[in-house]
Amino acid sequence: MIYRYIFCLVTVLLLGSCASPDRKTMPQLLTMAGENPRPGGCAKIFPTGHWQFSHVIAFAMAGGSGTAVGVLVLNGEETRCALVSVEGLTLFAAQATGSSAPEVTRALPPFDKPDFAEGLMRDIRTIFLYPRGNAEYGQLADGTPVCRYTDLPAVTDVLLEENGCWSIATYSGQTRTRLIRARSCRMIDSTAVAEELELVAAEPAGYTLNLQLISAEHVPATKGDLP
Amino acid sequence: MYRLLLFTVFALLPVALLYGPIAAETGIRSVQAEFTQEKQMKILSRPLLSRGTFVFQAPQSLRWEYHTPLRSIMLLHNGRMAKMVERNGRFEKESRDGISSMQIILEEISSWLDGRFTDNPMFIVDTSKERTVLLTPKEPGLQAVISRIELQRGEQAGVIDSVTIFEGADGWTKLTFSNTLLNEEIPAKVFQEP
Repeated sequence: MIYRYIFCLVTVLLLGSCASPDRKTMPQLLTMAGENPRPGGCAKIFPTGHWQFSHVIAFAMAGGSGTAVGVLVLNGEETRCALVSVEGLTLFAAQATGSSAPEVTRALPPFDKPDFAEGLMRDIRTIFLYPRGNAEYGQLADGTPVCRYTDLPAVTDVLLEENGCWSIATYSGQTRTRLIRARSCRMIDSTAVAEELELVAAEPAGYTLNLQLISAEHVPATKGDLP
Repeated sequence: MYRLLLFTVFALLPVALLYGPIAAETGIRSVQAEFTQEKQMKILSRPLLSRGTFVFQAPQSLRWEYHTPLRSIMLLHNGRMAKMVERNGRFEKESRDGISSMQIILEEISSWLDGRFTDNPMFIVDTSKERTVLLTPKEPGLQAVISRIELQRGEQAGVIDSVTIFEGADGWTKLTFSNTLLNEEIPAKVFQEP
């Protein structure tokens, strides 16, 4: 069924972690002294506290496309995630604290590849966790407000848009490694939650993930009991 | 082979394992029902919920359709299988590779549809409890993915109340059926691709 495509997804996720980007280079930041460039600042796009997100994930690359359901539970620095087939089969589950190595609790082939969990967690951290590093606030040459977090050699730009949505660009050195665009954002408990997210990793491992939000909610810390 | 079959097994087992044999035993010609799928894992604070419908027509025609959160349709008819997922407002077929893997499982399902419920090469079947059927995988490879399946038959012949598929200690998926209709005429187009 979708194994072939899932295998491609795995491959590109793994390659993406060390991929050379799409030749986009880091733009110059025109710095501004003082507060974040927007009321609420860039922190508003990163959920704090205990959340559970679920998304329909459509992925596309040269070899084909496929669909799965992604689940993410955030509790401070603790991250728990799972990939589930549309029919309900758990394909992959893992958890991690901060930037520590993920603990994989279930991984069906081909999700049991050694570096898959690392790559997946890296994407999750980029999208959902407040970036590490020294923060600068300013704007790009076109006037777009931006927060730049530098944790060399990694740099993360958070760009705030007029419509309340945002983009995230990550760089290794001067070269862009990922671009995430949020669309149709709405405020949920002071967090700008996107109805749609698109993650583009550039060539040569080029792949695109499109995440459609199913649910985003503050949740209690209890875990599900078996019947 | 088991890896190849897992997705399809997961989707089709509830219907194929029970309705096929029931149809053979009772002479039921068709079954239609709505279902709610509750997916729970230890890592989740709240379960994932999906809803859909299915239509089964003896001997081996099946339409298994999710309405939320993602529209998708799995069709099994005249020995052919197809799966479609809605993307950008229209249905797109899954890959040929996927369909060929479904063809393999179809051979397994066919034996169940013939009523050879206990003659199952993949599962040990326990029907000792009234209205409960327990299925335990025979092979370790499949046991690592599905530890057991529990089917609750309804009071009325031909009706399933629920199916719970256990994935070891870490999670389960429960399908609860409702609004079951038996022996209604099923238009042929139901089993055709949209």
